[in-house]
Amino acid sequence: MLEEHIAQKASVFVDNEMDPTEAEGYLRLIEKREDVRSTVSRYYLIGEVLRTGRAPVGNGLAEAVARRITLEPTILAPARVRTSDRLRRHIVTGALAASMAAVAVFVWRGVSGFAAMDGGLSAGAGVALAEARLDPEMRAYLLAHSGTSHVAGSGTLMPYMRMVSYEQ
Amino acid sequence: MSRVRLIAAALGAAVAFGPPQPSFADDTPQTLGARAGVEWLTGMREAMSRLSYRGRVAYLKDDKVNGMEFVHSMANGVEHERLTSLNSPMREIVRDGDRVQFFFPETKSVMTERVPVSRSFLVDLPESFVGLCDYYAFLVGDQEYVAQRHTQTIEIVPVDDYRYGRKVWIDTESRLPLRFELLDENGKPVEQMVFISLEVSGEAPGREVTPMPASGDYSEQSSNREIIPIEAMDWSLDSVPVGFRISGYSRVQHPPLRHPIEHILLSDGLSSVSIYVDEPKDEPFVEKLKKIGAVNAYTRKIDGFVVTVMGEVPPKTVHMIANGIQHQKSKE
Repeated sequence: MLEEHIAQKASVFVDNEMDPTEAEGYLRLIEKREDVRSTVSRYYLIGEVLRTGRAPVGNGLAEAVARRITLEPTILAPARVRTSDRLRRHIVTGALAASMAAVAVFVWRGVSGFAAMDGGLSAGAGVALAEARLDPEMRAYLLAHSGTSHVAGSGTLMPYMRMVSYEQ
Repeated sequence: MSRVRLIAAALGAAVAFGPPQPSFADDTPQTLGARAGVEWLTGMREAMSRLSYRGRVAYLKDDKVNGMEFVHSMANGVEHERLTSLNSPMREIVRDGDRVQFFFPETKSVMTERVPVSRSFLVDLPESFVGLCDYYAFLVGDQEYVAQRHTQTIEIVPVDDYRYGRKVWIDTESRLPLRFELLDENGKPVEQMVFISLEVSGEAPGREVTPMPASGDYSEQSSNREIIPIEAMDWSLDSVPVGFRISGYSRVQHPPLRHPIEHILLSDGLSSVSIYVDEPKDEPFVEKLKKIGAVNAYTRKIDGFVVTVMGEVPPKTVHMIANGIQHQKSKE
C-alpha cells in the first residue's frame, strides 16, 4: 500500500507542479519503487482519458485498477454507509467500471462518501485546511458570477463545479 | 468549409424556439436538425429536474482532475441537490428548492443564497432558446457510447470565436447528460465533466441530499446585492462582441470581500460575462489574465478603479470587453 503523502506527491508530480529539486528526488523514488511507478502511471492514464476522451485501456487494465480500488483503504473516512437500498441501478453498470475505472482511482483517493458528510463537515475540515489555497477576491468574483447567470436568463455548464474545485 | 460558413448555412434556416411547433412539414433539413437539437436539450433539462439520481463525477479543468459526488432528488415537488468535492478542500454546495448553501471548510464558513428553483448545479440551461440561434447552432451529432451507454451528442456551435462551444452526451434512455464539454475555438475541450458512476431512481435518496447538520464551528456569511438602474452606470462599454447585452447592474458585497463592488452583467443568452469594478487603489498594480477552467478573467486599472472582466468565454473576449471600458466621468 502506498503511503498517502507519496500518493499525493504523485498527483503533484503528474500535474507538473512539483519544484525541480523535489521532482528530482521523486524521480529517483519512481525508479526505485514499483508501487510509486504504478501510481504515477495510473495518474497519467487518468489525465489522458479525460483529456482525450479516449480510454487507452487494455483488456485487463481496467479490471486491475478496479481490483486495486477495492483493495486499498479509504483515506478520509470509514466505509460508506448506504442509507437506502431502494435505489435501483439503471444506468451505469460494469461499463463505467471498465472504461472509467481509471478515473475512479482519483475519486477513490479522497473518498469520503456520504458517511463522512453525515458526520458533519468538520470531519474533513482539518484535512482541507492543510491544502486550501485561495485567492479571496477571485473566489468572491466566481461566486457572484456563478450565482447570477440566472439574472441574465442565460445558462451555463457546470456553474458551481468551479467553486467546489477552485484551488488557486 | 470554414466553421463560420458551415454554421452560417445552418443559421440561414434558424428559427426562434418558442412553444413547440405542431408540424415540421415546411421545415428545411437544417431547421429540423436545429429544432431536434433544442428538443434534446429541453428533454434533458426536464429529466434532470424530474428524476432522482446520484453519482460520482470526474471534473477536468486546467489539466487537473477533481472527483465529486452529486445527488439530486425531487421530493414533494421540491428539488434537492448536493455537490461535494471528494478531495481537499472538500467543499460542498447544497440546494434545497431555491435556497443554496455553500460550505467552505478551509475558512469554516457557510454562505446562503437564493436562486430560481429550476437552476441545476450541473447543466444550467437557459430558460428559453428564443434568440439564441442568432449566435449558436444546435446540431444533432453522432450517436456514441459513453461507458457503454448509448448517447446522443448535441453540439452547440457558436457563430464566432468570442464564445465557447458546448457538446453534451445525452443518455438516450434516461435523457440525463452523461458527459459535457466546453470547447474552445479549435474544438478543444477547456472544461469537461463525466459521470463515472450513476444511479437513477424514481424515489428520493432521502437524507443524503439534506443539508449538513448545523455546526457551531462554521460561521454564517451572507452576500448582499443592491440592484441599480442601468442608466445610473458611470461606465461605457465600447467594445462588446455582437449579441452580448447588459443584463444587470448591481452593487454586490460577497464574502470574503469587505466592501461592495459594482457588478455589470452581460449575456448573449447562453454565455455570460461579469464586469467587477472595485474601488480605487493606490497600491502597485499589474494587469493580469487569469484562467479558472473555462472561465477567463482579465483585470486592468481604469482611472484608479480595479476592473475585472470574467466569464465562460475565450480570453480574447474578456480582453476585448475590458479594453473597451471607459469611465464616463473621466470622459467629461
